[in-house]
Amino acid sequence: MTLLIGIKCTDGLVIAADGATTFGTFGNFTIRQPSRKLSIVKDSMIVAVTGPVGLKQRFVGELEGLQLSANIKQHQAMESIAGAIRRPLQIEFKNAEVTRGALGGQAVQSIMSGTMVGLLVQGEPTLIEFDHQGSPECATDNLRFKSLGSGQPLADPFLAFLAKVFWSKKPPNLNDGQFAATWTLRHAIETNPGGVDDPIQMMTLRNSGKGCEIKELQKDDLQEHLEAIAAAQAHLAEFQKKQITPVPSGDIPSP
Amino acid sequence: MAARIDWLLLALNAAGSKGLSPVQLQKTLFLLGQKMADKVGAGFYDFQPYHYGPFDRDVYTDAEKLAASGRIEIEQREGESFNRYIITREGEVDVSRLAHYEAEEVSEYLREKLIPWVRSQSFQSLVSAIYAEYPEMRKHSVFQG
Repeated sequence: MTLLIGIKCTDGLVIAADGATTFGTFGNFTIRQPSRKLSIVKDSMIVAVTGPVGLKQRFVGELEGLQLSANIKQHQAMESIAGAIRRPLQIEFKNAEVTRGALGGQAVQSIMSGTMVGLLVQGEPTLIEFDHQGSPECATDNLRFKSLGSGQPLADPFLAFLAKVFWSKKPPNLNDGQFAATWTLRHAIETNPGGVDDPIQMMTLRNSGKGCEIKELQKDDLQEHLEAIAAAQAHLAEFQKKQITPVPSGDIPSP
Repeated sequence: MAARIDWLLLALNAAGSKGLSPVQLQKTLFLLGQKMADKVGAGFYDFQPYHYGPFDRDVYTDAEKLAASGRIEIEQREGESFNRYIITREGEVDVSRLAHYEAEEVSEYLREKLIPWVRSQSFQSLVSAIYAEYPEMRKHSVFQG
């Protein structure tokens, strides 16, 4: 079970994840363990994967061997990374065809995955999501956020709400993106029926002027975001109180 | 002169059993360093502009050292997802070794003025007040507007 969040910001991108891995087979879950879900590849790419841990390990291995030229265009980067991801994916889908007779739908269910990648393409921070078939889609200025994993049904509507409230007049910068990612992950962790849990992991990627700069937020960095979230929620609660408590407004004028 | 971790302990001693939240702790120590710079000395925390104004990660590192030695507790209260930093009995006993003039003057300022003021602020008004007096601390703020 996983929740991955990616946000394209004006000055970079944010990729964040929950920190719980669920063990089990054939849909029978046994235990949950804390784990790291974000990887840095060749100091130039953030990679996060939902689905089997083994698939993620193979995706990261393929991407470590991938050579992308500095002048590659966005669609070329999408295809190159998709090609690298599809190599192990297609092996597993072929295996699933063979075993489906004996295992039924579980054969395919056990290899469902999604991937989120952040990198610089022609110097621009670029966020790309890959679906269970390895098909890519880039975040854009109009579609700035992405989420993947079992927590996606909780994250997408919440991110859309935050985008409407906070980004309708001005797009998010990296700080705004970290705040939104933290709040969305906290919401999902607190409300999901199981499998999405602390600790939150978060990385940012930007062009520092000298090249790709990837930073991982320490757990201490999240403390003030968590307190800001509590303050924002309290502020919303005050809005409700102000509807029922008299607020000085001056006399209603008579004609 | 006391070490900076001692000023942190003094701040939490002044805060008493309610403790301080992360933002309250960071901003209290920042303001202490600004208002009583001659008392806290040159080795004090080095606050830089961050998401909500002045921030030094070493504040949390030192808080964890104090927690490891039993002088404070770091806990999460029901309904809160962030930490709260609270002095323990052992911490209160340890504070007494700092009983010299500078510590007493700093303690009085913390206890009588700074912490009551910090506690009286909302998250927004605390951060805003610091931005108003120290505008350079707004540089990397969330919600630049």
